[in-house]
Amino acid sequence: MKRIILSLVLIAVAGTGVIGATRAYFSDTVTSNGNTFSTGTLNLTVDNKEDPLVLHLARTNLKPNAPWTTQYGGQWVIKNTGSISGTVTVTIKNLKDYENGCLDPETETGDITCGSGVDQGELGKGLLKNIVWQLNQAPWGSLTPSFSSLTSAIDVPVTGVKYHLDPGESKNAYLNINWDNSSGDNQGQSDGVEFDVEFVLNQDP
Amino acid sequence: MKRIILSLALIAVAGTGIIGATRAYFSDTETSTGNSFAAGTLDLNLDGVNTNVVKFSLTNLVPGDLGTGTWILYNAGSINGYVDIHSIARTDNDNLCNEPEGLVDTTCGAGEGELSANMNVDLFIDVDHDGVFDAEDTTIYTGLLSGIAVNYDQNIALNALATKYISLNWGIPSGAGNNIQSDSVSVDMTFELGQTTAQ
Repeated sequence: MKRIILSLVLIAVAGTGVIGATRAYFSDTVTSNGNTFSTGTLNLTVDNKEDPLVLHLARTNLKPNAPWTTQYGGQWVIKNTGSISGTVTVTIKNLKDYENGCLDPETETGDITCGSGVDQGELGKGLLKNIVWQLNQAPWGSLTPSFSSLTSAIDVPVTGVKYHLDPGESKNAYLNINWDNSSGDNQGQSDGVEFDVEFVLNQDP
Repeated sequence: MKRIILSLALIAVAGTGIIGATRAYFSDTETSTGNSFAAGTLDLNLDGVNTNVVKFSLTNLVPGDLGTGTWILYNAGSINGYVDIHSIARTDNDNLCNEPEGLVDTTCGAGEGELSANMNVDLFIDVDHDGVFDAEDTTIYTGLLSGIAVNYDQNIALNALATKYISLNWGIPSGAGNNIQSDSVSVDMTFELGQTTAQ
C-alpha cells in the first residue's frame, strides 16, 4: 500500500512538470515600434488666395497699338505654401469671344460674324496675339509654347522650370497679350473677350 | 592453572580475530560527483540590439515615393528557435486637412488618415538579403498597409547564432491624391523568437 501511494505522488510531480513546461518555453521578443510614414503637403495660392485657382478675366474697351507697346494681360503672385516643391501649370480655358454688334467700320472691313454668340468676335481669333506666359521677375523669361491667338491657346497647358516653386517660394506669373495694329483692326471694334485662367501646382516627378 | 590461563588467552585471540574480520570485508567505492544540468539560452537580437528598433521615420512623402527597410534577426542564444511576428499595430492620422486635402477629404481628425489605405507594402523573408522582393523570398504579407494582420505565426527557423532578414518594401502609388496630404501612419510590431513552433 505504501508503494502505491509513493507511485501516485511521483506521477503527480511529473505531471506538474509537464504542465509547467507547456506554459513556459523559452522565448525572447524584440520590438520595432514607432515606425512612421508621413506625407508632405502641396498647396498653391494665387495672390494669397487659397481658392478658387481658376480666375476669370474680362477685357473690354481695347484698342490696337504699335507692336509690343500696350499689353492686356495680367500678373499674379503664385506661391507654394506646402512642404514639397512643385511646378505650376497654367491653362487658358472657356474663351468667350463677343462681337457686341457690328459697327459700320467692322462690316466695311469684312466682318460678317455679327451675332450674339460667344464665338462671333474677332479679338480671340487673332487680333489679340503674342499670347505668352512669362516670369515677371529675374531671371526674366518666357515659357513655351506661346500662341498667336487666344483661340489657339485654349486648353493648352503651359509650364516650365521658370514656374518651379520650392516650399514657401513665390513668383510673379505674367500673361502677355498684345493687340498689334494691322489692316483688320476695325473688325475688333466694340468686341470683347472673357476667359478663365487655371493655375495648378503639381509635385515634381 | 596454566592450562586455564592458556585457554583464556586463546579465547581472547579468537575474539580479537572475529572483531577484526567484521571491520575489513572486501569493498570498493567510485564517485559520480559533478553531475550538472545547464539550461540553454534563447536571445533574439534585432539589428544587433535587444532594444526597440525604429526602422522607418520618413517625412514629407509624396505619391510615387517608394523604399525598403530590412530587419536583421540574429539568434544570439545557444538553442534553435522559431520567429513569429505579432502585435502589429497601425495608426493613421490625418494631421488636419489643408485646403487641397479638404476639398476631397471630409475626415480630418485623429485616427482618420488615409495613408495606409494608399500605401502598398511587401513584408517578406528576404532570403537573398537584397531588399528586393523576388522569387527567392518568402511572402509574409503583400497588399495595402491598411490590410496587414495583427499576427503572423511564420515559425521562421532561426538556429543558434544564425541570422535571417525580414524586409518591408513600401510604395505610394502615383495615382494617390490630395486626400493623403499631411497624413501619417505609424506601425508597431514585435518579433518573437520561440523555442517551439507552438509559440
